[in-house]
Amino acid sequence: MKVFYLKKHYLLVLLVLIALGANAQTGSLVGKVLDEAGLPLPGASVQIKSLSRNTLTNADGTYKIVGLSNGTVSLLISYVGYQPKQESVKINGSTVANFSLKPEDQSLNEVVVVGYGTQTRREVTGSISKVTGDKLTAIPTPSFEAGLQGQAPGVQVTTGSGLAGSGSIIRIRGIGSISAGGDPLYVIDGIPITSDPFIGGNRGGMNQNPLATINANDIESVEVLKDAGAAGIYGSRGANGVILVTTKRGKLGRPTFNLSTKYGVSTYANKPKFVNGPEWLQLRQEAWTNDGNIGLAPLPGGLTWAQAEQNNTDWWGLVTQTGHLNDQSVSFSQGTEKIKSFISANYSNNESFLKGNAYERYGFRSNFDIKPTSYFTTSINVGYDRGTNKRVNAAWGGGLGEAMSTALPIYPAFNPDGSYYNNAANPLKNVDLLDWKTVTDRLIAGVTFELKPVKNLSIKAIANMDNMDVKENQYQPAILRNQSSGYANAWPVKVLNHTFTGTVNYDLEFSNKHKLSFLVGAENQESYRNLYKDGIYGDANGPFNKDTQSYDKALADQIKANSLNYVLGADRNTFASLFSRINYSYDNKYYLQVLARRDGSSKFGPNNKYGFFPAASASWYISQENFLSDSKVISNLKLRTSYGVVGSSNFPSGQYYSIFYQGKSYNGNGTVAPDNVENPGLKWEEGRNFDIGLDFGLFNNRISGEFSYYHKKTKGALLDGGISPSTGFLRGWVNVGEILNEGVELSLNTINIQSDNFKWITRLNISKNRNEVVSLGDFSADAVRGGTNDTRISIGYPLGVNYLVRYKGVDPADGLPIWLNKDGYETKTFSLDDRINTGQVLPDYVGGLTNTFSYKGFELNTLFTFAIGGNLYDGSAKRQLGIVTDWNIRSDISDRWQKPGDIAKFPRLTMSTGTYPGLSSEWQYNSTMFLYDATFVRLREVTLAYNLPASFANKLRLQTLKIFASGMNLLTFSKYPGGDPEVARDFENNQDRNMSPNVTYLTTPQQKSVSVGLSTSF
Amino acid sequence: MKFNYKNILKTVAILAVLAGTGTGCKKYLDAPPQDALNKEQAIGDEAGLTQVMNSAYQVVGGDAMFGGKIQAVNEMMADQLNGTNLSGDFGEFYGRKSSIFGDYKRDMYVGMYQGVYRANLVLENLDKATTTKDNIEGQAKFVRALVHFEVVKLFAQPWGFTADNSHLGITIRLSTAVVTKNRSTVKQVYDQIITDLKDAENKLPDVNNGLPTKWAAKGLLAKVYFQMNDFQNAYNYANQVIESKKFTLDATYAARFTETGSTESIFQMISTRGAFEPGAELRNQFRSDNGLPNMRFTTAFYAMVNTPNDVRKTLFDVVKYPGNIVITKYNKDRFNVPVIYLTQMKLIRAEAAAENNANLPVAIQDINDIMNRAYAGTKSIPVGSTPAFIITNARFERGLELAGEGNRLSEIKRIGAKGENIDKRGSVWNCPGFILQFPQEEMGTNVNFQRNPEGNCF
Repeated sequence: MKVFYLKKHYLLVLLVLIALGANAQTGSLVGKVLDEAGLPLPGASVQIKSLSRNTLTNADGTYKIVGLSNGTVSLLISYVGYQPKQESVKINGSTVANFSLKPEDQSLNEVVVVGYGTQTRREVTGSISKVTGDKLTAIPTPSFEAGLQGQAPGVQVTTGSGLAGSGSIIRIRGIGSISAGGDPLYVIDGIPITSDPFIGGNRGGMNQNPLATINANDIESVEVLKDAGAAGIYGSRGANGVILVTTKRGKLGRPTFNLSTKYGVSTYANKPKFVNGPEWLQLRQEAWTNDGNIGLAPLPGGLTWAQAEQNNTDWWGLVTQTGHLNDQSVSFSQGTEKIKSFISANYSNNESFLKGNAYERYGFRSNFDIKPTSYFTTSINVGYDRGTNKRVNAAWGGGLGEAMSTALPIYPAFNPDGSYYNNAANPLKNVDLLDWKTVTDRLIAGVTFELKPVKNLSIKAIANMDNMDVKENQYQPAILRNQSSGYANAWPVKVLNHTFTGTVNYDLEFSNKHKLSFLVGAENQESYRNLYKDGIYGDANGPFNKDTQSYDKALADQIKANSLNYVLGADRNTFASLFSRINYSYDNKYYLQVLARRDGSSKFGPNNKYGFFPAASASWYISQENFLSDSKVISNLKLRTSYGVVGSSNFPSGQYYSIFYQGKSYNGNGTVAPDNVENPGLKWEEGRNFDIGLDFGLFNNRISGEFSYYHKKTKGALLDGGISPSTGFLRGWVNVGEILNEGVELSLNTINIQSDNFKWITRLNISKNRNEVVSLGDFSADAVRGGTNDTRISIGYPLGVNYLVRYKGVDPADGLPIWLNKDGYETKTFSLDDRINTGQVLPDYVGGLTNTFSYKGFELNTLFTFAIGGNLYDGSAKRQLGIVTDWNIRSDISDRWQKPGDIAKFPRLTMSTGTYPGLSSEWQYNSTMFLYDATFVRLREVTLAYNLPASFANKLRLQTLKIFASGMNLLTFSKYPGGDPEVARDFENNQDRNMSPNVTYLTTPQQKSVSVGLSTSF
Repeated sequence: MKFNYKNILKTVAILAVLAGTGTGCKKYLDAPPQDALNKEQAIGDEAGLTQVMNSAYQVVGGDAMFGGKIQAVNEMMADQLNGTNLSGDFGEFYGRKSSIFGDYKRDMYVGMYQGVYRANLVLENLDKATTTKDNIEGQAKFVRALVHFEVVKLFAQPWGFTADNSHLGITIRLSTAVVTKNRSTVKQVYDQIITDLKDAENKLPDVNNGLPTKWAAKGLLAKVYFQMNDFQNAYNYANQVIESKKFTLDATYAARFTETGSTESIFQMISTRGAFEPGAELRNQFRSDNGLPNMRFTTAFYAMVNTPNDVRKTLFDVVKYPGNIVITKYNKDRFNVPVIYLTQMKLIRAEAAAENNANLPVAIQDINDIMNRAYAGTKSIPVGSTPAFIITNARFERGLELAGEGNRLSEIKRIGAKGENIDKRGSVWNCPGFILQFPQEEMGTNVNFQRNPEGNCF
């Protein structure tokens, strides 16, 4: 001790002497801090520790420290996410010193957003994947969540269709729900937001996606909470994982403007091949003749052969176009100790490849952090977006769906007199005439008061709101309806959602080694909808928002008919929660976290009003132990594990008791109708989740990654069904199912080549999930209604099995199909009783492979995403390749039986279901004939960017300037001949959404696009 | 370190309030959807009970029943339509090979039973009723009987399929209990229907503001007995309704499906603009002024009506869609849907009288009343016609009068059960496929539920 004391004094004396020696000669230090690409790093810290002098770089990366004495000083330059640099500089008068920092490859100090707070990567004990905002904006996805595809292990993203604004299905570590929603909880800046895709039902063959209004340009990062250790803090709503979205905030440093602009064109990623008019007629005639008829086959649509032969309409071509997209965004960021602000404005318009379809969005955001005193901070976030979705019918609703089904090439689009052809499907008429718009105004705003009365104590009071005002107006002109007047519908809905949260956080440091952190909090959330229950409808000459006269009349008529039902507080639900989290760490090596949440909800029945959700997690930095600290190979090794109880409450409110709704009047008298089957015991689905993982970094983090294993058992999975239909109901909510999800995830990041000018980085993530429905309680699998498309549940199998009759092939003698019966024997009689489990909709592996090559200012980034295994069921093919009806026929039909002896894939053509013995209808022609391997790989993203040299940018008075070109979905590899192999179709309800992804039914293919743009800051 | 105690206090106070509302206040968590009523609110008094009863008519007149599915499904399975154009669920109906699947049928089935559920809900809460208790009870029993009658006709082999009618019928639902239940015999089903209707007959008033009256109950009894080939009772009830003189034949066919309603109507589903417009599914499937409808008639059928003086041929259009025969009965935006009406009663009375070989002059007059309108006074049957001749004419006229209204299938089976096969498509009246298969969910929730045999019809 004494020696040390002396040393200290000795140093002090020495310093004084140096200072004296330097005398009064003053010097200064100026320079720049740049990143590895030579771009300025604003807000980087430059410190002379010995003199207690420090400063931050400006927006252009420059810094200046004046009033220095000449001599050598030791400087520490640091910036979040970069390796700090310590360097000695000799000051002699006005001295220039520039520094360039290298990014920290696997930064343990990276800030990770966890529920109700942040932690450093080092402190995190749960399983959390972080995706930065720039990855979400790299390609023009229809909605921000689609940008997560291939970015994080254990996160399966099935991108929605090419419809503008369509939503994706996200499954985090599998699926543990049958009838309740299987989607994760979305939380933006602290508020669980409305993400229900069924606000507008399945109107027109599309589930309106509320997430499409969220502006991806405003997103700083997305954290995906996967295990109980991370998502557990969200208690009864964490079981499907949580997606935490954090918007950008002002950063310390001089005011900076960022500007980005993008333009692109798009088309469909895949197109199924159909026969043309003459071919169709020929096939029809073949079927007719096969059936033993003579003469010409009767034609649908009231056409004679002569008329039909004149037509060869390309309906697909008529209802599609080259899509155009553009995306403009400007933001301003500024930060001082007292006030930090981020303000942004954006505009984007995605006119999809479907004629008449677009999603246009503009929005503003302002996030302020105000710190008037050292102990008090206020943060205010206001984000407003307006999304205007120009709608078209799709899938079963018409449009491109009709072009793939009942709009035959032999039908004309127009009659000889120029009027629209009207005797059968005419999607062009619908696309041209239907006026349909959904405008969503969304305000997500919040205010946080934070008080730090004493050191290490923080008290927060937070109020958040997420209000949506959805105005949907549809107008069908008289010609479209074939009636004397036009007709308008409006479905206005306001979705109101707010939370109040209070938290207290206290950090306790016993010594250098022991650290404790406590969080306790309370939260209330209420969400409800205000809507016209039956909508507003009536004769009109334009959409109601324009033809106000008709609107008033429609209102008056509905009032008169007692059918104007404005409901305040529909679907209302509340949550009241208490939660707590304790973190303990020892010696930066051992971390332990215990958390618990108690949730009460108005959704839960009186017998189960409150749920308790505890979780514990721990991590151990093995690499910090003595036996590894000198390892040349292992630079980081962390073992983490967690176990906990989490819940899922994604089901409608008001289901635990018998509810009645007032309906429209009958014969002038009011009506009240029962709506459901009550269940007083109704509660959340309960997941018991175990997770163990290893984070690693090798060779100075040249190779890094993470490997996890998880085991999730869901008990009490909700089933909305199991009711004998002769009760008058088909469904009722019961907690019966047991579902297991078990899997492994690997993410691997490697720096393959690193030289001064050239760098090649590879990031791979791959996950395997095994899903099994373990039990359905007292119900048999038959009690569960399948998804709309021939999938269903079988005990011992994954959720959503393809339950089909097995197709053996064609009997060369007579061209009739040969099936396998239940026992595997060949039969020529089709029977629904011979259905067995033949496939699964869930893939075995999903993942993404990113390669980034950078050379000087150039960067080439490619992302391949893939799904391996699982099956795809083509629900449209049974009509397109089955009995010849008034449907389009796919070109694959060329491989069919035509004469005795033919070896073919498809049986003899027929126009009668009676030809194939046992077949009751075209719709029941479900068999493995249309079951495909769902494996696909697609080049999701390829981006080439060039960062102009800072020197050049500076000449333009810009700090940075980047130009780029990117392509989305340019290549797709799959064995599926019927179109796009990645299928998130329109769904009827959550059960359908859970059980029938990968079942296609006239689904619009995804968008393929090429865009160019530039971004700059100044 | 500065302390601002005021702020601490404020924050703590906010937290306390938050925590308090979160946990202490139970009301916050009893937040049902605002527009929903609980059982007590919905059905706590007579007014509520009446409103639930009213909602049952929306089921009976809704798409699942007389709004169109009953008529469409019955017609597709009968022999007056040319269904070669039909595919999918409709192809199954037309092909008389109903399977366990098919949303159209399933929704019809569950929808019909929802009507029974509402009726039962009313009956279980009759203690809430005061002044109109009998009326409400009568209505509920009428609806319950009407639904069971329509279900049993479609999903079970007809009365007379077995000598003692011990063959399987349908599930009888007499309570709202959400439990699985096996099928009763056809005899049990008909017994229940008759019991309910006789109760309704006693409890319902003479006039009832558009809702079922005792005459509606009697009219339905006539139809039920007629379906059972019980001609004594059929005659008796049809006669009572006719002789009440409360109903008069419409002067023209244009009046039967109109917004103003028909003077013949004994029980009808009432259309009110914007509130309840029954018949949407009828218009979907039959309406022919806006495009070729799915339901098209056979040339053989049209030949029956295409006689020089038959006024009814104007109810069919053979010009607009060359090669197709479509009906024009439903070519209106809105109309009431008559369920029980005088024409039916007259035809029942005539045929029943002839079968009974009694009151033949009454029967002849009934036939001539119908013929007088149908042939503009140019055709009649002579006084003194034989019972067989009366029956032939009654059946012929019924086939034309009720075309597109879903009656023919019941006739094929009723007459089949009497030993005469009349299906023009040549199927035997009792072949398995002539009745609908139960929806898969019924078997899925009850392993003991016996489904129907399928097939063997054409």
